[in-house]
Amino acid sequence: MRLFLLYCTIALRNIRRHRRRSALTIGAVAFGIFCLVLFQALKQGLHAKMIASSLGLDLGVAQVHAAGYEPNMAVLHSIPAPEKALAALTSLGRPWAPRLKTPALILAGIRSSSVVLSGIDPAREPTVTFIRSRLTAGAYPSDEASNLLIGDTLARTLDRAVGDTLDLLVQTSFGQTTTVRFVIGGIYRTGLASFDRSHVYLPIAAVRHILETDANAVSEIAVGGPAKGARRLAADLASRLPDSEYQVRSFHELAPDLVQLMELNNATFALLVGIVFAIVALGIANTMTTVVFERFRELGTLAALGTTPTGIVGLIVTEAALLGLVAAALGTLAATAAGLYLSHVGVDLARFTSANQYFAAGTVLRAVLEWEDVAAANLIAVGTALAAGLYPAIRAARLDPVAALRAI
Amino acid sequence: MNKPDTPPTKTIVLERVCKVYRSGASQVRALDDFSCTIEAGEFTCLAGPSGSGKSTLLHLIGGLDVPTSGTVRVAGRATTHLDRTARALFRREVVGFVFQTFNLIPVLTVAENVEYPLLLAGLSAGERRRRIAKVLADVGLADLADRPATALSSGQQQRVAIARAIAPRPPVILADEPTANLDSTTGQAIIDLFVAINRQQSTTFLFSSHDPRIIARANRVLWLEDGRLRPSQA
Repeated sequence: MRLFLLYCTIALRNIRRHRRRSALTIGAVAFGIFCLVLFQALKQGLHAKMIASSLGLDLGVAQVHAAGYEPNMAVLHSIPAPEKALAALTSLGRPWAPRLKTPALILAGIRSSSVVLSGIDPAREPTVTFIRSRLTAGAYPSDEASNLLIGDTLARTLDRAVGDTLDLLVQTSFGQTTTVRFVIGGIYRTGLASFDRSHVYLPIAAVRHILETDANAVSEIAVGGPAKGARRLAADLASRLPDSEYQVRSFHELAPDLVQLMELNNATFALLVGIVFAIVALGIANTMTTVVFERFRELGTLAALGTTPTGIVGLIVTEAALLGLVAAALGTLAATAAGLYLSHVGVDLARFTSANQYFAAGTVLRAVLEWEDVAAANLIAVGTALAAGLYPAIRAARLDPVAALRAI
Repeated sequence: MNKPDTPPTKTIVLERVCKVYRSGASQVRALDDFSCTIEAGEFTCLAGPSGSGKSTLLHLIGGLDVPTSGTVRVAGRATTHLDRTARALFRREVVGFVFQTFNLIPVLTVAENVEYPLLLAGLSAGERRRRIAKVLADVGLADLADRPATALSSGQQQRVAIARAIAPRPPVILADEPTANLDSTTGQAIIDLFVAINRQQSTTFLFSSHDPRIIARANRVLWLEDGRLRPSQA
């Protein structure tokens, strides 16, 4: 132990002895770690924003449908005994919102538009989606008033405002077409034109009435709450419900494009990590190779005193590891400070990106510092430093003590 | 580590040792069929002109290098066929080196330089403290234990090197031109110190020198010429 401490002392004093060189090496490595930790925090923030936007728009973290449900909505597919699924969800302590969805055609004089009509529980739906918070005019649907909630793009397309009427053409559960007139009660804007043009909302009771379904008909139950653990939640829920009647899917299955995009981000970031740490490794290897050449005679003396080749390797690797540790500490400190700042202030991406479903919940990107990411970056940094120190260390261990002692 | 296979009184035994350095097509015969024996506790000087093989001989005896042919035995251990690690352990246990240029670890203090071989020897903290205090007192540097080694004068640095060499109490001390970088007074003082240690601890001393006043202090002188003992000694 004391020998290891003496190696640490030698390493630290040598780092201090060559201040400028050590500072440059430590600075370069620390900058690499700073970038990695901060970029990872921003990436996590980006993913959190993408998930919140995609799930809060409509999906929820998971959905329950009737067994055999396909999302083309060609046939109204009600969930059998939805109260069983709702009881299971309640026992899991997650917020949920029942829906009755159907395709519809909106008619406004000579204009028309095909939409998805969602019958929603006005009290429960806001626990899963953020549409209520995006009202720009009028009111959110309520059990008392069966008014229609439409997007502002649709309202502008149809030249309609709150208080105006629209006709909805739907196919009932018996296959008959029917047209019902509704008053526009509210207008929302998510900022995503395609969504705002194609999604309209009514209280679920009103939709059941026009579709002539059972009084408790539900085609979809969306589950709210944190996205983390969605897969486990879906599996847990599925285990409580018979496969023959219910189909439970997490957002990973419901929105594979979202998952694929995040995987692509992760792969790109892993490539970046590889490049940065290759540069870090080269920097440390270069410094340690210089150290070995500079201290050729000193290493020869240590060998003459009885230090084994393994001991020489240990000494050089200790110095490389200390460089890595100091750099990791400084880089982490700076990245944590910047990350915490960006987690509060954020970066507004509105100027850099057009409206899309991944930023529907807001355009301000906030860093999300995960301590396991910080720990991983530090571990990789120190591991890289150790690996980078190994080559010059092995060279030092193989040096001829006589030649080393003759070196000037 | 191999076990002693020669009587302990013959501390250093070299039998028909050759050392050839090759550089491209040319080769230099630094030691040529060299044989000699040094008894335990002897105070021996290697003398001879530059290039006569003094340093090569010290390197072979100290296990820093291996002979091209022949056998080297020190404290009963043959070093000829040892690998790098085994030779490092041999040096740790059997020899102490004193170099012409002192070769102290520049970032360590006087005490830490002396402590290094004691740590390699695996001595306890208490024993290390005792030995450091004793050897620094022996070389007259007790008050400078916490000073950076490189902040001392040349003579003091060589005393630290001697303290470092004798602290683990090896049976053999090898010194390559230990006074060459010192003024004559300091050089004499260093040889006085060698003599005192040799007498007190019966440590075998083998050192090389050009200086006739230093050579005169040895109780045995081996004169080398072209990698061989002078004909009169052979």
